[in-house]
Amino acid sequence: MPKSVFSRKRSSTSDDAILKAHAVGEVGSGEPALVLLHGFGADQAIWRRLTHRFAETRRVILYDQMGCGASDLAHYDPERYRTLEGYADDLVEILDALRLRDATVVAHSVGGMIALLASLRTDRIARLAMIGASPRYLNDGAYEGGFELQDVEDFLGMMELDFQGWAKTLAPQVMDQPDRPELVEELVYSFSRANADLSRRFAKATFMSDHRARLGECALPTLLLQTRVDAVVPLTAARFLADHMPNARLEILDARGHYPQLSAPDAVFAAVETFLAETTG
Amino acid sequence: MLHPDRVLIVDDEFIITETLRIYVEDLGLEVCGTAATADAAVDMALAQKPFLVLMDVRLQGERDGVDAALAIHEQVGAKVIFITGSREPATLTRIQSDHPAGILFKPISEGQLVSTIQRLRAEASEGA
Amino acid sequence: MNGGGAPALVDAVPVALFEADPDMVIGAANARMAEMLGLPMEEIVGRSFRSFLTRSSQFVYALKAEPSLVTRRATEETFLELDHRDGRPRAVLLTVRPDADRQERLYGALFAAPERRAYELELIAARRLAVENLEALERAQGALQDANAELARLVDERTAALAQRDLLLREVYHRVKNNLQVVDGLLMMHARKIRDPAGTAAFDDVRKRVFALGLVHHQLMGSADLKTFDIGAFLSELTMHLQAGAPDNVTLKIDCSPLKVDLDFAVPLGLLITELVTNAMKHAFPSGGGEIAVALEGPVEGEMALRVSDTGVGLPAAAEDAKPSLGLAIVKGLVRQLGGRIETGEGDGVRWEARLPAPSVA
Repeated sequence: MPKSVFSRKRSSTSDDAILKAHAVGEVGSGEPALVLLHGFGADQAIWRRLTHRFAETRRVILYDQMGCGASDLAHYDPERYRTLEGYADDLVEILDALRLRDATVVAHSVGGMIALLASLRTDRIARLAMIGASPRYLNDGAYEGGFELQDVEDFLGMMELDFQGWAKTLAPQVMDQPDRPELVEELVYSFSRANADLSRRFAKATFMSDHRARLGECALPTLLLQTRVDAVVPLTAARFLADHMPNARLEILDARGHYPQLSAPDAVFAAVETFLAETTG
Repeated sequence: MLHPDRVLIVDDEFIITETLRIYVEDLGLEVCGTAATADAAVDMALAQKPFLVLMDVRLQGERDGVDAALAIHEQVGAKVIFITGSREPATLTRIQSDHPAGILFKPISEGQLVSTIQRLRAEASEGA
Repeated sequence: MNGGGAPALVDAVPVALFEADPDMVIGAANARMAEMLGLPMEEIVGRSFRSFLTRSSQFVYALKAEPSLVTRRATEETFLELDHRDGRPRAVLLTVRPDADRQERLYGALFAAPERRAYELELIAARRLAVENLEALERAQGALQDANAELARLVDERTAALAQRDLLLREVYHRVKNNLQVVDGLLMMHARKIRDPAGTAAFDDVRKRVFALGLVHHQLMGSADLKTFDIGAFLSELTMHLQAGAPDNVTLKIDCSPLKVDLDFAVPLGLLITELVTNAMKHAFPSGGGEIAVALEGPVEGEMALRVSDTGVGLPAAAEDAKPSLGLAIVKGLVRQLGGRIETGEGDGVRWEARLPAPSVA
């Protein structure tokens, strides 16, 4: 893989720059390391109910996708992030910078496809766990992604209409200052303009994507977690993933909604730990 | 000791040196030589010890008439009348730095030259 | 919503109110909620709140409201659209809080926000306009910078070209003067070989004309623009030279107001004055001395007046019959070149008066 060869030659200065640009953090120790990857409309704080539990027995890496959370917008390149490939490149570069081996990537929502694309261009990833992932959000003939094109366009329109609201939902997490609303308020206004545009672009890259054709290329052991009711990803899309990834297993969690790591952290934790026990050592 | 009747003429234009020679000789003075370059002028002034040098500014060679005049002034002590076609401020400033006995602009008339030389001789005899 | 002692109030307020479980399944709702949805109450209770939303709002709800409902059992003013039975979506703001005592009971309110969309659209339009203005401003500033850089480059180029031109002009004037000195020297040498006094005089006349030409170039070299100079300084130098060649008992007087002139005016004028003064010197004072006065006045109504007069004996009677002299031919030719006319009159001696168009020098 030429990409990783190139990466190995990179100086530690640029490694530091990459880690800084994505607000990369880590807790715990122990191999194999586990990387937690957030999805659209969130940042690394979405894992707050699980991070320390995973970290009890291993090294856990978290970061913010470019344009989200505390990532450095100075590195935002609209062309690079026009599709999910740019986000996948980021993951590969971060793995290279940390020189991880045999890594597990636990990815939520669109993070799932980002992790899949990354796994096709680096040998640093050994297994994947995807939560609420979908290869395609739009319906296409017999394929049921859950949305018509018009729905997604309406959604993008609504996002734009409520850009301050979107910023507001993210701001408290970014700020980590829920007790000081005046700071949050201030951040919302400074954050919202850039965030509105970036979120919209990320939304487009996410919801207009179609990675069905790539699924067969990923032979890594993969755990697919899906709640009983998820407004973003219908069960049919999760099944499609399981049917088309050679080494994937679908597990339906007894939970509702798109965020089981928040609503059912115990179930998610147990499922991932079982999967890790099966696929490591 | 300078020769009070000797004049050195420095110009790279033959007709002009000859014109000046006629004016000078008409005054009963001796032209001890003519030079077309600064170096030749200095050599000749050192050898002939004229009391007066008629000096063009633009000469053949690298050094110009101001360079020659400064050297002659210092090494021989002769008076220098500059005869120049130039009016460029930079050139005039350099000429002034040599405290010239006179500056005449080409084309000069016989009258201008004669009256300037006569004034210098009068000053010299008063000083003596 | 069978709440406490004020059911009428609950149904009368212009806000949809509901009670839900942690999965946002509706337990109770007020009449206003039924109205907003266009559904009878029995089709509301027991259903998931999400199912009342348009498809795209379900998306928003799942991504935005659900995470905070899961973690805080609350959400504030989330902008959503209700899927009203009449097919026309209703814009609302959803706010949810948990019961203070029983966290698993949620209370929700839906505020109609029909203007919200228009308001947000206005905000977006304003924001876009601001961004566009900013970009236009940046572009304009960029263009201005480019233009300034181009202008500076042009100025540099022009300055360099002008400096080059000045250098060349000085060189040319320098050479012209040097060459005139050579010509003067040659004339002088030839004149000395001639025994005939008339011949010598002719050479002297030519030398005066050559000197006048040299003086013009000398003035040009001293001027700032290398094109124009003051006629006064030129004429006083010229007359000083002419005086030097005159007998001691002939005095030459010049009276001239300052006037900016160029080569095209100064050369013929200088030659004209040289001719007239030389002529007066030759003929006005056959015995004894006198005065020659040169006056240049004007411009008045675009005309200069040149007067050259002497206190001499006047024109010789035979002048009209005689072959016109070279001097006179030159005078007439120069006046024609200057576009003027010349007359002679008798005063004390001879009086020449020329009317010349003033030089048009910027």
